[in-house]
Amino acid sequence: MSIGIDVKYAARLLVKKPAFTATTVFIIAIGLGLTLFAYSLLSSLIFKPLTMNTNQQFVTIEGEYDYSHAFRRSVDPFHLNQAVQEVDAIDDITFHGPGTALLSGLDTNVGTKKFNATFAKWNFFDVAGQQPIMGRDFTEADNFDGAEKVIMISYEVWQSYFKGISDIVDKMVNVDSEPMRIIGVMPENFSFPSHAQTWLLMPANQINPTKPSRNGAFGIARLKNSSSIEKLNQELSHYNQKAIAELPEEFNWRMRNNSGIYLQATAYKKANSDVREYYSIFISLLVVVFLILLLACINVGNLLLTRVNERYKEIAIRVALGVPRQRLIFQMLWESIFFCAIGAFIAFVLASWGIELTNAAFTRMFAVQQNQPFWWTLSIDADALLVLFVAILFMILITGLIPAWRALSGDFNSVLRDGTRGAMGKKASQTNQVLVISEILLSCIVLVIATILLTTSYFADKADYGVDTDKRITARLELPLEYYNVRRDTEFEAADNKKRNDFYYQLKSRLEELPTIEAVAYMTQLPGTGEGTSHFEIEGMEAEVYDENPVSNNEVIGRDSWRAVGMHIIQGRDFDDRDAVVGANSMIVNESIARELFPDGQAVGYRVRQISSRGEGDWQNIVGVVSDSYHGSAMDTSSAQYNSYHLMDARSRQSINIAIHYKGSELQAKQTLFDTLNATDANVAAYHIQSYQQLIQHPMMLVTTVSKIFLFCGVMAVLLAASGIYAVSANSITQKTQEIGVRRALGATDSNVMKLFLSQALIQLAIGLGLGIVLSMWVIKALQTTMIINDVSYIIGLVGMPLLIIAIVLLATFIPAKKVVEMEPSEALHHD
Amino acid sequence: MSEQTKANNVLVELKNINKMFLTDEVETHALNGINLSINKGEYLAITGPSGCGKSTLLSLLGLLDTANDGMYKLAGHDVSSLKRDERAKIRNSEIGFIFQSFNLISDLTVAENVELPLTYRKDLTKQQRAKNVQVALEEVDMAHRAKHFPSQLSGGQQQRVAIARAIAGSPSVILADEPTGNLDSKNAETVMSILDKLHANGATICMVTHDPRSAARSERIIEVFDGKIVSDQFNNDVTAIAV
Repeated sequence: MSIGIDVKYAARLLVKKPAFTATTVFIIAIGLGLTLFAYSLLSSLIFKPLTMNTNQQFVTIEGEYDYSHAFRRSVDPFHLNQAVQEVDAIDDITFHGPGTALLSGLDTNVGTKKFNATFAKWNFFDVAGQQPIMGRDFTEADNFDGAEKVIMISYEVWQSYFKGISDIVDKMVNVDSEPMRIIGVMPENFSFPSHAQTWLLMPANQINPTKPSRNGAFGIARLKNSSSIEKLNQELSHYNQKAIAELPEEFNWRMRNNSGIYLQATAYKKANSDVREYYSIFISLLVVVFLILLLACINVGNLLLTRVNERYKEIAIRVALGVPRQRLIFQMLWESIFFCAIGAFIAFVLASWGIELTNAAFTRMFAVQQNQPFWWTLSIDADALLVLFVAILFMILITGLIPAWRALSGDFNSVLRDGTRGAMGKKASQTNQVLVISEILLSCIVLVIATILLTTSYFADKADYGVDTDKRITARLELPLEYYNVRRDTEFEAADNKKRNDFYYQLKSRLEELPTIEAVAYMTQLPGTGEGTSHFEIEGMEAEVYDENPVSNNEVIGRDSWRAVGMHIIQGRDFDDRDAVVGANSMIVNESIARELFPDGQAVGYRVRQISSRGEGDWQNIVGVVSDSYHGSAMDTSSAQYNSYHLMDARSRQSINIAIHYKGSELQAKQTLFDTLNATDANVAAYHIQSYQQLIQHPMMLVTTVSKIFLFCGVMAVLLAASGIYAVSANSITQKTQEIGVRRALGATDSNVMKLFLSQALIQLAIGLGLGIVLSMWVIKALQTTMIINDVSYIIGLVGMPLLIIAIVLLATFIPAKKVVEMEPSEALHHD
Repeated sequence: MSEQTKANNVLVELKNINKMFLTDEVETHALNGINLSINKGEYLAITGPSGCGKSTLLSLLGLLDTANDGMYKLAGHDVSSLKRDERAKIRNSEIGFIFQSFNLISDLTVAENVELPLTYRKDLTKQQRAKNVQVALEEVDMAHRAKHFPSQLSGGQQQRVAIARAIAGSPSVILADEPTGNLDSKNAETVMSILDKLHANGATICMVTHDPRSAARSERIIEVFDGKIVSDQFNNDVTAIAV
């Protein structure tokens, strides 16, 4: 019965003050909504182990992640095979490598089309725990030399490319112009290991090499339930020592960093390149959301505390009437339960909306390259609901118990005797100070991190990469190996290379003859994309130590490529026929290299060579200097300032990026590329066709998406901080009203009182901001490992945000203090 | 005593003071046509039932509130229409307050509480302030607790500290609002003895009290009823009432 009365009373209080109720519920909804969203995001992308149909989690076994080049390092299947024999934490292992498959040959009227392919060991689907819905799995016999070539296709490829024909199994299809038999169709939405659309077998000699080889693959295994990744890594560490000791010298390059790490196990989702590259940003998001939850808790706790102060006399009367303290606590908890329950419902709606938006952003992000990892689809699952439930409990306890403690720790006798609360107790005063400092500290960290990420992402998005991107489309061209294979180290190598380059130059000529095409460029990675650097040394200026030589990004380009991307030669000459001959070893460097590393900025005529850690490398002659451009995203630490360019003719490429400067519409330009390509050689595929702007934005899309979440967090943090600091300050000052009355009775002037509050506020600001900036710097240091933070971002983050907080705090102090100062001292002395 | 001497001796002069409160659109006349003068060195008790307006009268005397109309002269100066900060300065230099609930600031030590009104003055050095604090605390026999916080003191001790605070700035008048209201009889007697001593040393004291024994120690008793002074008589039989 008493519960019924308490519930009714709590409900009545909510209705009685709708503005208060709405504010409190809003803050709770923001705190819980962001928590639910961030948990769903991070558990889907990173933390929730990938198990797929079993209770054993997947792990990857591969080389150490190369942060400077931002790529996952494959390892020798020879070592993977050996390792699996020596470790106990896994039963079996399969390997795979990424690739593409150009499908053609069936009468589907769609021509040659590129799909993402996974080259795998025959036991791949066994380890994955998934069998085809039609046809059969790979068998070991498929891997034997001379066996018929087979391909497994995804449900989506079957439906879209093969129009869902019922007798697809056993059909023959050309894969990179080589006939293969379709042996099965995998279930809908299955794209393991990440975004595979087709699965092909690795050649037998790559799967089972009998000695260390140059082959590379990524291992996937299921971890035994009785084991852990740490245990597996311990076992692999023992194996690594042995493998490294026995590694022939010619394979020393596998230990590029000499860190002693060769094979290492990583939780499957964490091994994803995007996650690895931006891990610190994800963790920052987690930190920021947790801080916002804390801010929300403090704000709501403080709002309820204010309410308790308003109801202090009523509580004192209840205590005087003999209400057990336990009952009073429950009354306040009921109020919190109502707030949190309504807030949680709104939080669920908000989080669902956020998840929908994020899923849409992911779809856009991966649309061109169709490389969305299959687990990058967010949903609110049972785990997330459990987290929401725990967060609600946490919030109920914080928001219910703090006011209850405050309410029950007062001097009810004095309240009832003289009708006032008495001067504010020392403990209550300290509690308020801690609350204000906490608000300042938390909001400082959230705002600094959010602002730095936002501004960095904004400036990166607006960065000048040194190229013209307007009216340019880009695409990736891929030559089928059946027609464009290069027989290395044979007498045919030069002719094979020439055949490839002839195709590229023929396509360029045909395109440039068209009135709608201005110019065509070929580049291995176009400016604004790509990453990775290598050391190089200048003849006569060699550094004593390998690591002290400068580093540059290296690209292979076609002749006459600069004008298509708006770059230009500023010294020397462009590549021409002289550079196409074997042994010419010509190169062009960019303006920064010339200006900063050569006497008087004159680089032409010098010799330079890329060197390995063993000091090897061929000398090359600088024939020209080209205007600066930037490779890699402007946010990425691997973005290169120094660039070196090498002529495509001397080293042919099976695939290369093309940039086309066009007139007219983008759609027309894309069609022109298709038509001209088909007319030149219909077997060559062009994919990832997009505008140059889209190409540049692509590496930034994940960060841009996460930045939008940070923007939301930042705005919420400002709102929470402003309202929270105001509420805490106002509450603190209100509680000090009687003290102010005393001070004024003793002769304090308005300015004495204002000075008192403002100096207290400044002390709180100094502590809160001091700690906040130190902690923010710590987080920023972690962020700097993966992104370049520009100076403007630092200024906005570390100066602008603290100034904003100072303004908020001073205003939040000034307004309520002014109100108290304007009271008559007699009124203040008897303030209830 | 000549008229001029009488006029020079008047410290407080109220003429036709009215005070009205507006609560929920209801007008309450707290004080109605009050005329009162208090001489220097006088020990005055204001008595009357609860809600009669005696605390409001004390607030007006202490410049803690302003009258709706009427004239108030303190030490010959009209203080009826001063600005907030001017009133604060006069409170600081001319008036010492003693409250029923002590109103010590819990964050400050005993010495800091006593020093508080002195810190609002610009004419005192730190050493002078410290000396005044020491003298005031010795006057109430609390110098040994100078570094304690209010929460470490008994009610009686807190009120003695409050008296020290009231006298530290050597005010012209001490206004005491039920100074023994929150104290047991023993502590009440101690406090009243201190007030007696202060008066004996020449202090002007104006005390609001319910307690007839406290009122009996004053030399003049004013009775307020429904916002009006209904009785104003000298107490010819001032006696120290032993407990």
